[in-house]
Amino acid sequence: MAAHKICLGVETNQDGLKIALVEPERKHIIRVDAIPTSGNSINDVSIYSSVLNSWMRSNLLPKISSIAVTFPACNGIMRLVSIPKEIQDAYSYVSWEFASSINSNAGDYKMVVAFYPNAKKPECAITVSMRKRIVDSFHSAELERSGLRPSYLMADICVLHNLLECSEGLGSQPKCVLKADEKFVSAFWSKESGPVAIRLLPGDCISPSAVLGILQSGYAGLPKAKKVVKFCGELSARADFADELAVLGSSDGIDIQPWKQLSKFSLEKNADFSKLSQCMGAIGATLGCI
Amino acid sequence: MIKSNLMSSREKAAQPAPRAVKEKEVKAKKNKSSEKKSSAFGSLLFMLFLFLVASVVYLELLGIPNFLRGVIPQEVVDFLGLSEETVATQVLRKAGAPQLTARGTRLDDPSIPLDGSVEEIVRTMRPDIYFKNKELVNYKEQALINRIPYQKQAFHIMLGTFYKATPDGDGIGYLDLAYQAPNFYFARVVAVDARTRNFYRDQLRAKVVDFIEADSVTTKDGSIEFSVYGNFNQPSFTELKSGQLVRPSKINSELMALRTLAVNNQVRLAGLEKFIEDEFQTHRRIVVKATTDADYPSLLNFAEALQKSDIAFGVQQFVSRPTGAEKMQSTLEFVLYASVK
Repeated sequence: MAAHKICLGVETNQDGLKIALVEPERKHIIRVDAIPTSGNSINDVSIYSSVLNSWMRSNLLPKISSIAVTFPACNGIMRLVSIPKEIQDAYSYVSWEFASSINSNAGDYKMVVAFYPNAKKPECAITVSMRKRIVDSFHSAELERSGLRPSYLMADICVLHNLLECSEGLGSQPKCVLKADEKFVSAFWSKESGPVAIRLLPGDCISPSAVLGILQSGYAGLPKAKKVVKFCGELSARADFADELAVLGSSDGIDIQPWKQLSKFSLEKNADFSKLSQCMGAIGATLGCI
Repeated sequence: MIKSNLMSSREKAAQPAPRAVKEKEVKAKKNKSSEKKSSAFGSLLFMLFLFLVASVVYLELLGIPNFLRGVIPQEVVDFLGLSEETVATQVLRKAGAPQLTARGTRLDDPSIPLDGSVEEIVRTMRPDIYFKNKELVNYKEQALINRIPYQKQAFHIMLGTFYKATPDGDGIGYLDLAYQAPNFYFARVVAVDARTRNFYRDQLRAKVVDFIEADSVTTKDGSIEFSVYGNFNQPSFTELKSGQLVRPSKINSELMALRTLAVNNQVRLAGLEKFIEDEFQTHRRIVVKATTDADYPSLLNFAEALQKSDIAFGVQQFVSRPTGAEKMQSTLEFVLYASVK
């Protein structure tokens, strides 16, 4: 029997690392973990390497074939760009749009673009940009030597879209995912043709009513969408926050459900998956390894 | 599936596209390239030899430049007769400076050198951040004797800063706490949880000039260990009284005064009698390495009393670490400058 590749998914943010060990081809989750860190591991790669190294040394792990890292959308720049029909070179248009929408030098960023519905006749593009300095820090020789250099570096919204597609499936009607962490909240709506709306909420403004506000704002542009929200992230584990948000949502006709299960994925027996909803980003990141 | 991998295109860009090469071309080139390789290797060896000779001549004539200090192994320095160690530093080195561990959880696997001075440790951790844009208000340009009142006040500021930044209760503990003149601090901290860690971090960050964090590790019981280091607020030379060289006959009375001041503040210093003496052309330097089991508030009171006193000893290094529940041991390195006669 051929051995399946095991991928380590790591979600970084200001206060911690979320880790998932997954066989992405078999859609089998071996273990998940959440480790608090001091400092932002995406800005300081030494935190990423020391915490991950320490975790790997203190756990008996199978051989890992690749590492995929995901970062919060707030650590980069994400844009949904509608592409006018008359545009002939979509990439140039998206690059120009990006350069004119930011107040710093576009050359300081590394950008990747995914076109929808296809690259030949794109109608929309999702762009993910990050400071070159940060991307380069993940290419360092030190990380290479320690075997912790990631093969994939993606924004959390992209990996959650992929996870939603692989688990629940996407159709013509948009589905909503809400990822609420202690320092940042993001919500997005995706359908089979790609993400259709993104809403973000910075750390200083996070409250159940403010989160409901961004959900209402998103649904306002998608009147036909079914008002069901998959809720994951650090705050989904805080019962007081989750309960208050669910009550507020139901009063507004929005059904906010904790995202605690992944259909089409199997879980390792006898492992602890109590933090599954916090580690969705890390699990989604491993799908990049397929 | 969205394919938006930021790691992907770098390698492709770095590697030139493969070019189709005919087999004959390859064979012909092989012979030429092997000849070239052997001659190039010989040249390289010769260049290396020349470089080595030039380096040794340079070091013998001009001494070890600053940026190479600590890089060249001590055995090589001794073999070439380039050692500049003073008697005091030699004794300190052999005695072994207090051990500072960065990770805290495993003494046998530290991430930074053991037996290193605080400054060496900080250098090892993040030299790029540490030495960038540093302004030490001309500390090193000051006359040695002026550094004493500065050190006394800096030591008090450092202890006071950490005292104020540490929240009451059992939320924060220290595995290592260190100061080195002029104003470097290093602490290996244990916080019971992320909330306490964040609170402490915010408190300390607001009270120091430079705040750098590293080596965060979460232990099995959920507590978080991490290092902080940087520069704390410095005293101003303009507000300090300038000192005078102590007469040699007064060294013992200065030591007695130091001991008395310490005892008055519930700090019992051991090792005051074993001082190390260096003689230079114009002055003598007395270094005293003392240890104490005093608690933190007593040390803070002692530091305050020392900076207000006329005692001619400054504190050039302080390292503290726990020795059991509610107990700590600290090592203080005092320095005094005396006239030769």
